[in-house]
Amino acid sequence: MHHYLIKRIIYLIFTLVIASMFVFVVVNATPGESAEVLARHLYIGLEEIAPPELIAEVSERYDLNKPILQLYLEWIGGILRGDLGYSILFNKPVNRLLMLHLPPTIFLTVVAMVFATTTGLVLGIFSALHQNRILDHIIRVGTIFSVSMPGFWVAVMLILVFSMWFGLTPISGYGGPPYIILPAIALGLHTMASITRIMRTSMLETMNKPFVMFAKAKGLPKRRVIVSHVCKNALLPVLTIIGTSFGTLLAGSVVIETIFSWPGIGAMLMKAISARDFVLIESTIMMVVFMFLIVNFVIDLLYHVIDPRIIYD
Amino acid sequence: MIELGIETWINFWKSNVCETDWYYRLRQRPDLQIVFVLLVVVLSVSIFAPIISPHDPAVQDLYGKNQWMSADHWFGTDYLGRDLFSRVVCGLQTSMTIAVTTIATTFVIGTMIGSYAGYKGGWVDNVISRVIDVFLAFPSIILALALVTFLDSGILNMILMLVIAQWASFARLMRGQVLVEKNAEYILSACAAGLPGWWILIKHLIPNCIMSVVVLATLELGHVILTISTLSFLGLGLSPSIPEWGSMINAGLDSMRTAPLNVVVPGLSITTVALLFNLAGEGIRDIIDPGTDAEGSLWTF
Repeated sequence: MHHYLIKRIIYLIFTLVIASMFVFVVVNATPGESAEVLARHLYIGLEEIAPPELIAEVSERYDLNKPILQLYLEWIGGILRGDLGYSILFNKPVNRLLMLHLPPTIFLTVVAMVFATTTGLVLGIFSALHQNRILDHIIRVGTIFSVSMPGFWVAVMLILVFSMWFGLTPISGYGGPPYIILPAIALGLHTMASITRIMRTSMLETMNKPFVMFAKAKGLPKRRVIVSHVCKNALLPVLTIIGTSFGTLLAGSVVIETIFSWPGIGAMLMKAISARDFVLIESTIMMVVFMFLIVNFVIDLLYHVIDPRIIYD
Repeated sequence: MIELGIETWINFWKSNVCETDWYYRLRQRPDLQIVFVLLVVVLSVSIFAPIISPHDPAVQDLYGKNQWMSADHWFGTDYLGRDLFSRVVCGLQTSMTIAVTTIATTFVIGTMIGSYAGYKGGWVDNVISRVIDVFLAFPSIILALALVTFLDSGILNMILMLVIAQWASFARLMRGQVLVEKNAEYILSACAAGLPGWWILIKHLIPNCIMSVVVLATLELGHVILTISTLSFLGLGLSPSIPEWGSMINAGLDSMRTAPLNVVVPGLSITTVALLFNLAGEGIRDIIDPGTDAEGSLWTF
C-alpha cells in the first residue's frame, strides 16, 4: 500500500509538471499575436489596429520577448513559492483573483454534484428495482436524452422557460438559493444521467450475485437486502464516475458561468482568453487540472477503504 | 477458375455476414435498425446539404425576420430573416465534417499508439502511458480553451484541436484491450510459430481488439458534436460566417423571448444527432458484447 501510494504521488507530480509545460508552451507559442491582442484590450479599442511601436512596448513591458524557458522557470518558481503570477487584464495578483472567483465555482460545482449524485442514485435505484416496467423505460429515455443535450442549450432553455416565461427564477447573477437552482441543474444534468445509468446497471448486476441470494434465503426483509447488501456493493462504479465527472463539471462551469454571469473562474477564464492575459490563463488552467487530479487521486485511494478486496500492485 | 459474378458476391455475403453472431442479434433489434437507417439519413443530408436546403442560408430578409413555421420556411426564420431550416441543414454539414474527420483521425492515431504501447510493453509502454495520463488530466473543453489561444479559428484548426483533446482516450482503451488479448493462446502460438512482431500486431491483435474502439468512436462522435457546438457557442474555433448550431444559438439569445425558434431549432438538432450516435454506439456494444443488458435500447422488445 505504501509503495503504491508513493508511486501514485510520483506519477501525480510528473503529470502536473508535463501538463504545466504543455499549457505554457501552447499559451506562449505566439507571443507577437498575444502582444497585439493585449495592446488592443489594454490601450486602444478592440476594433483598432495596433501600431508596431505599441506592440513592441507591450511586449517589452509584459516580458513577452523573453525566452520561453526563462519565462517558464520564473512562472513555475513562483508557483512553488505560492505566487501564481500577476494578471495584466485585471491588474491584480492571480492569487487574489482566484481567492475571489474560486469559491463561487466550487460552490456551483459542489451543488451540481450533490444534485447529480442524489437524484442520479435515487433514479438509478428506482429504475433497477422496477426493471422493464413503464417508469424504468421513462427514466431510461430521460437519461439518454439528457446525455445527448448540450449543457449550454439546457441552460438557455431553462432560462427561457423558468425565468422568461414563468418568471420563477432570476435570469442570471450571483446570490442566494434562487440564483443557484438553474445553473446547478444545467451543469449537473449530464452527470445525473450517467450516475443514473451506472447505478441501474450496477444494481442489476449486484442483484444476481450469490451473496444477495444468500441474504434473501436467510429471510432478511427485502428493504434490508436492498439497502445494506445491494446498494452498498453497487456503489463502487458510481464512485469512479463521480471522480471523472468532477472534471466534466469544472469544465462545464466555464460555459454555464458565462451564460448565467456567475462570477467564477470559468467566466474569468473566458475573459482572460479573449484578452490573452497569458499568466492568468496558464495559472487558472493549471488550477483546474490540479483540482481534477487531486479529486481522482483521493477517489482512487477511497476505493480501498470502501472495497478492501481491491489490492494495489 | 473462380467466376466473380453477382452470385459469388451474394454467397460471400451470406456465408461471411449473415451467419455471424452480430448479424443475428441485429435482426432481433428493430429499434437499432431504425437508428441505423436514421443515421444514414442524417449522413446523406449532411453530404447533400447545399442541394437539400430550400433557401440560401446566408440570404437575409429583414422584413421577414423571426417568422414562425410556415410552408415556405419550415422551421421559421431567424433574427435576420434567414431560413432556419437551411441554416440547420448547413450546420449539420459543418458539424458532421468536423466530427467525422476528427474521429477518423483520432481512431487511427489512438489505435496505432495504444496497440503499440500495449504490445511492446516495458519502457515504451511506460512513457506512452504517462503521456496519455497527461492528456487525460485535462477536461477536453479546458484543453481546447488552452489551444484556442494559439490556433486561429477555422475548420482545420478546430479538427486539430479536437484530435489533440480526444486521442488519449482511444489510445488508453486500445492499450488496455491489447494488454488483455496479448496473453491469449493464439497470440502465443503465433509467437511460437516465429511470426514477426508487426505481423502479429496488425494481423491478429488489432482486428481482435478493434470493436470496443469502434463503440467508443461512435459514442465519441456524439460527444464531439456537443463539444463543437459548445466551442462555437462560446465564439471560439469557427468564424461567425460559417453556419454552425452553437453559434446560431448564441446569436439567437437576444431575441429568444419573442422568437424562441432561434434557440430551440438548433438545440433540438444537436440533441437529435447526438442522441442517434449515442443510441448507435450503445447498440453496437450490445450486439458485439451481449453480456450487457440492452443498455442502448429505449424500449426492450
